Amino acid sequence: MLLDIFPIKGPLKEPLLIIEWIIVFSFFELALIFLLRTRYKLKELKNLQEKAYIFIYFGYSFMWIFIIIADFYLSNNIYLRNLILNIGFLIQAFCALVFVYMIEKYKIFIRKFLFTKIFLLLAIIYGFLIFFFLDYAGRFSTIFWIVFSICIMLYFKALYKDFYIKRELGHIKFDFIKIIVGILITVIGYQMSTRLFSEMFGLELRLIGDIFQLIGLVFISWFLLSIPSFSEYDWQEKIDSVIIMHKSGLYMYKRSFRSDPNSIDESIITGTLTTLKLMLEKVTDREDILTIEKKGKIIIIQPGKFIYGVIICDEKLNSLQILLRRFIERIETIYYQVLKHWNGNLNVFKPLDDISKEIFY
Amino acid sequence: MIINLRDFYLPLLFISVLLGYQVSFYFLYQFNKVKKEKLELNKNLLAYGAIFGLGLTGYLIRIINLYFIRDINLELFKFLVRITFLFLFLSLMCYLLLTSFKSFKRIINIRLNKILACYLIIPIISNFIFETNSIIFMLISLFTLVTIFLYILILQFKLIRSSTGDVKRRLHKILFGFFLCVIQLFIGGYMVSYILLEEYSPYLQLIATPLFILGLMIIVLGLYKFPAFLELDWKDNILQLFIIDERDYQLIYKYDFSKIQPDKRDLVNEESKIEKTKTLFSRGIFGIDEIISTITKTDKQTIEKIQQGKFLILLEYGNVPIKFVIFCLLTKKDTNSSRYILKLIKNKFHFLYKSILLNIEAIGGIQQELFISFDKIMKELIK
Repeated sequence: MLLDIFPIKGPLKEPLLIIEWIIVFSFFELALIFLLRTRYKLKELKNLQEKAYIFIYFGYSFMWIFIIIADFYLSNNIYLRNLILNIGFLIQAFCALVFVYMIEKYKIFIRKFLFTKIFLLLAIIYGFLIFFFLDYAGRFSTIFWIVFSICIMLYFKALYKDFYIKRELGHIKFDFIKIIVGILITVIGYQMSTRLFSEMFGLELRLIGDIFQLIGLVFISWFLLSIPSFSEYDWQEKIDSVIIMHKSGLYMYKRSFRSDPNSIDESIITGTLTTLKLMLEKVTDREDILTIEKKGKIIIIQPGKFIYGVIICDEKLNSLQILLRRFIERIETIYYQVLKHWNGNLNVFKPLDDISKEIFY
Repeated sequence: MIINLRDFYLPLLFISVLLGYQVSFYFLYQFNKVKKEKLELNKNLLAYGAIFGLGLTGYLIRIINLYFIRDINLELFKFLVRITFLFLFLSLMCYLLLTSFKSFKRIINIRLNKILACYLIIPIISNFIFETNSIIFMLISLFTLVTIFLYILILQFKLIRSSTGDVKRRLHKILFGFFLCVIQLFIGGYMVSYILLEEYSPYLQLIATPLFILGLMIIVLGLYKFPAFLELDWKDNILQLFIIDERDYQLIYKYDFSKIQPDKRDLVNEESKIEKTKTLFSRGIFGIDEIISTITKTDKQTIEKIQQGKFLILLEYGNVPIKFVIFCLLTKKDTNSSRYILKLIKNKFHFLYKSILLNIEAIGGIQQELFISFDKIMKELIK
């Protein structure tokens, strides 16, 4: 038999209210921590993936605000409570959609943007249900979590395969215990705090569920703050070569990541690219990143103060652009005086090989 | 919609406690991070950590006491009110004692600090003698709180005025956040909210607690990755930097700190005998090192400091793979800040020029042009 417990009253009301607001705040705070981290690490590769976590935390926090309003602050109006709850679920679903999109930008699971497309479709259907069939909307929202769980499992599997096995990183078991325990506790906690379980077994279970979620949050955050990012390694299989050339068109340095027996003389490449870049700058009247795409190959030309950095790769990745910018900045800092009056002596750039190995590890 | 103000401000109060403890731990963490550098002004972070840690404990006791105990057990309630005040006064005392160290001398009168810390014994004792809602105790504690908090705000303001760059900007944020927290203490505190204006207490809590949370969040923003707090006169003490390559006794980089403080030029000229001939200086350092090693039979140990009259040369040796590089900082005083700066310079130089130094022979005769670029990094570092 289901208990009629909403709006929540009685001796457990205040402890529940306090803990649930603490859940809201803790997830919100974590989102802010990731936001601060990305702000302070603009040029760091890990940044790209951490932006995705911000959305999932914000979403969870906002969803709980709506759950609290519906369960504690509304009088006995079932329609209004359902509406508020579903708006909360919709916000979380939207944030999960952004999260999945950002992750799929760096990693293909089964097919490109497969989960993003599924999520988008589900979100449209869900929005439609909220407006026209509110009673069914709550049940439908469960599908989001099933799809999201599959996506997350694939994400961790890829993480495990790509980094921990390939890179032979240590502490693998401990890291995965953290996340498995974290997710398990949070999911169980969330289920215990749902309306259905509260109505079946009472508010004590909801209180335990809330505490579980807070403990789960600690484990998940611990894991997420320590894992590497896809963007830290994903470029390695996509890059052909890096070329540095002076703005006068003279070749300075080249590093090949793949052996190519038919490689063209570097001076010809740099001369051609400089001419092209100068021509486009004249037309557009501004100096900016130039990207040339040809089926299967992409050339990215990034201007610095004295030099151009060129990357030839298979895919246009943000991570490659960040690394190229970092390489250019390092060269221009060290060689500032040399580059101002460079006489074409290539010997001075011999140390660039070590610097490039440091950046494009 | 069911409107019960308690349902709104009670969660907020607990959130502020949680956040407050986090801020306190973060202050202690930031202090601990640079603790081994023995930079005394970092005790300001420790002081903030203590004021929040102890103050928050009192605040938590107050919340539990007011909202969960008052209606059940009046005797316990009265006792816990005294404990709340005890924690509050202790937090202030800790703050004042932790900012009474020698390095704060340039900013404040540390004797006054100690006197005020001792004075706090009076409200602590009166807390246990008088009833907490008696007019005498209220006057004593109100006077104490207003005086001490004003004093702390002035102290912090002076500290900000004496600081520069990033530290200054961050201290501004921390002080503003702290100011909001102090406002909360007066609006939502025991005396105003529960003795003078009890009927408005829920409304006052609804105003004060978000203000407190906002203040704490601003503090977090200021505190996030807080840089090391160097002695206020550290820029006056450092004179010149020399980086020497042991392999050929060449001076590969030199930076004159009088560039940033022209008034130091005379002092630098005074020691210009040392730097007149670059080779002499660089060879001299190694000569001294060899002689001292032979005399003291300490081949494996390296010299850390050479003193000549009122000048000092602090030495740092490069890390693997550029162990052949020596960093010498000419200073007026052997302060922890100077040592810290020298280490920072070493790390930056190592990061930027490691590859260059390992390939120096291939580069040819343009080394000086490469190393001169380090001027830019030096300027940023000094800022």
